[in-house]
Amino acid sequence: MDDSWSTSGMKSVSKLFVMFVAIFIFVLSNSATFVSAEESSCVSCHTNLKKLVEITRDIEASKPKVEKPTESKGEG
Amino acid sequence: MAPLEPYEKVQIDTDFLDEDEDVHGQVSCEKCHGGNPESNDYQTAHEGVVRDPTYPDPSKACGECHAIDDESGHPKITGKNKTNLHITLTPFKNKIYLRANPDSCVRDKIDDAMGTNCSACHSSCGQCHVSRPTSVGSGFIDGHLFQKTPPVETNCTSCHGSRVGKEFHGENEGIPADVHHTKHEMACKACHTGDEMHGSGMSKEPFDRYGVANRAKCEDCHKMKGSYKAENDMQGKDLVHPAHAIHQGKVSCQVCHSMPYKNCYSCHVGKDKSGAPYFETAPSKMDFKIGLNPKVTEDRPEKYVIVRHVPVSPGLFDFYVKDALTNMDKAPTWKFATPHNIQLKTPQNETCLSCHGNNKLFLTKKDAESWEVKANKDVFVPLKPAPPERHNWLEQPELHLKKVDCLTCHNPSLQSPIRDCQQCHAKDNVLLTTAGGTPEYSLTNWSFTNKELIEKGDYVVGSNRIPALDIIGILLIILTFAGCTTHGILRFISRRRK
Repeated sequence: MDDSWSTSGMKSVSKLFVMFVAIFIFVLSNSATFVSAEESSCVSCHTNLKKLVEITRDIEASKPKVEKPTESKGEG
Repeated sequence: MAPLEPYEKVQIDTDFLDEDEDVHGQVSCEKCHGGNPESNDYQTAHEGVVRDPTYPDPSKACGECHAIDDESGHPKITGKNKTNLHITLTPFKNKIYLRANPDSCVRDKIDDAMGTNCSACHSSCGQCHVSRPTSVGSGFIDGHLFQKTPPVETNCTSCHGSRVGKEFHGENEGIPADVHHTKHEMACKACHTGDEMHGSGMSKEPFDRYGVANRAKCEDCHKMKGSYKAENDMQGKDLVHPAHAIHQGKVSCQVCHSMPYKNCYSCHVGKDKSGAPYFETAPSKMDFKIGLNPKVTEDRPEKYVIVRHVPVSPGLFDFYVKDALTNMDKAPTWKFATPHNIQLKTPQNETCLSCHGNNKLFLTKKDAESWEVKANKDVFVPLKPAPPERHNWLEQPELHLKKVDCLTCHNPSLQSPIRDCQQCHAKDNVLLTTAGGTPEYSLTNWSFTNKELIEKGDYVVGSNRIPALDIIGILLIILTFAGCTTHGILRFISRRRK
């Protein structure tokens, strides 16, 4: 009697645990943060320091060379 | 303010994506900024990107939540955008148009010049709460995290630095920082509230920034005696100094409490070969000038105000068009000012005569160049004769001015200043009840209340009539007589016995 009760109890707990994990994953995968972080190239790039340094360096290098602009004199 | 590296300007902090840190991070990037979030190539990803989606119209980016006061506690902000002078720059344009040549072709060129050289100095929701203003190089303040209060260094004094910032922080040589900064550690927000910064919300924009209904005022915290307690009164202390009673409504607070401040002269704007705008101004000067209030209003009733020279000159737009400002006489070049270097004690408020009769403090024709004399005619102060001359009806004006405290005669509790000699030089004179403008002191008091005034070198009527001294003197006389009488009687008795 005791053994069968403990076995069925264990099964219920296991089922609950599996359901909880499933719900947790479902909620997490649908959260805005997760979606934007995973799917948006904006976020993946603008939070990646290495990528940003490389890209901004490329952008600076690709800019046409211009003469040093005339500096303003005095206080604005 | 240290400049940012290019990558620092656009690096997003991952905290921004955390709802608990910043709710704005839950809105997808493209919803505000546009672009293509699915592309991994930075060029195609940035096609159609709007760097600042809050300028000029923030209703789309911010208005969904910040348009009306609602139960969620979002303040009504975007609805006031059209009266937000940080965005519209209307007062600045108004002053230029006032001086401008009315010819439409010239006006167009002025607009072009202003568009190139001046209009970039605006702000926006984003340029206060997310990034540094574009005019000072832009770049996120803190990884795109929204700042409820814009930081002073990156977002206030980065634009308002040359004059206000340096004054407030004491960065002008020999001039102390504003007492609100040093003593009370107040930042800009303490006076310039979000309500003021977001615009007045009035139906019509004010002509200049001093016309903003909800602008910061000294009286918001410092209430004058007898005035109603301001709604947000933070000090709650009556300003009971007699000088306030005398000058209230006639002299602006800054006239007595500000230190010398920066004045700018002659600005010329242009474009270099690459089309980049530049400007040149003449060296600025630290000075202090009291002028007549050119525009007395109910809100600004004072006759005497502080005036600061603005960097305008007839040749301002010469690069773009000659004779652009043919109406320079229409607006003063010395304009109403509120320097941000307030001190309790200043050189001009040390004594009454530090200001009264000190002609170098007042703006006169001598301070203006020939082309600006007419423009400032309503600001120049007609100098009055020196105090000794104005008091020459007295027997000894110099002696009175040297020895008698001004407030003795110009007592604010009297209906008019004392002009009758008998009012002071008589037995029952008014000075026996008041002295030195300090009504709590009574000269008939038993304690030596005159001591303080006499030590200052003031002449105090009745100072030799201290009741205690009188009584001691009378007692000495009585005792002398009593002693002599006793001595005589004793000698008389002793002789009779012999």
